[in-house]
Amino acid sequence: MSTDPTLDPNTLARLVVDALERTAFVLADPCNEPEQLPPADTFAQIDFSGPTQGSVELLASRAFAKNLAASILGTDASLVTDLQSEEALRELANIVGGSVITALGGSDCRFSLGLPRLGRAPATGADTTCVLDAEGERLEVHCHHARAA
Amino acid sequence: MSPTPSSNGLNCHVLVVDDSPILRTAIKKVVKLAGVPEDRIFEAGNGVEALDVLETVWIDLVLLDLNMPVMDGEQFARELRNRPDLKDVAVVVVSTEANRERLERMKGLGVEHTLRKPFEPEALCRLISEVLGVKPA
Repeated sequence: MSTDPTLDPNTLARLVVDALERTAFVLADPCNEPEQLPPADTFAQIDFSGPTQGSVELLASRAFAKNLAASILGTDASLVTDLQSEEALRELANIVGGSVITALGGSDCRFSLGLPRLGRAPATGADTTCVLDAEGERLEVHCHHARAA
Repeated sequence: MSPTPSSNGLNCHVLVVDDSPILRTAIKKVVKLAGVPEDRIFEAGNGVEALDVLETVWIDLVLLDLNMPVMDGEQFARELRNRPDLKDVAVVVVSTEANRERLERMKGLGVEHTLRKPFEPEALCRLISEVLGVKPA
């Protein structure tokens, strides 16, 4: 297995879109004009370790997190609490984190995930980034995966 | 003995163990779709809480996340296998876990089935039916 894993933006976007569709039936597409989307004001992050150390950060507009929670719960977005919105984004970070380490590690994956958490300001200088348009709402995913273990 | 379908749904008890309350809710819905009545579906936020449930209720199937605080899924499975009264409870891992060595250790603990997140609800439904030995709902 390579000790210098890579992940391109298209692959990262595909992993996130797949996670959204399978987990919550939420549709999203890569966005070429991210400035048109609402700003991100909700953050979730998960770290991983193994051949390299890294993290996956999710930055989303508040309405995206609310819509995500509503889809997972099968309820109307107006009934979703802020806590449920945060839980939904944290769980999405967990799922995307799992997909990322699988993509990096392949069938002999030696990466391990930490626990997802909320509220940390995003780090700069991500190795791979994608911005998705989820029915007019923003979801940014930043992946840091090239730090030596 | 395999659970039997009845007019009240599958005659079995399922425990959902995941530290994410929102995902527990989603998984419980799928378990219900598989035919298990709502009052026979239990939940726990970590391994310690799961053991507490198992001490009070007979459980046929545990749907187990691995990465959890307090007591993770691997610790829980090890604890389960060390208890003579609980060692035969069926366990299915439902997790983002990708680490090959850890998944091998889970197999060593008798956990044969793993469903990776993200999963489609139908996949979990089929797996529940398969492990419980009943036809899919």
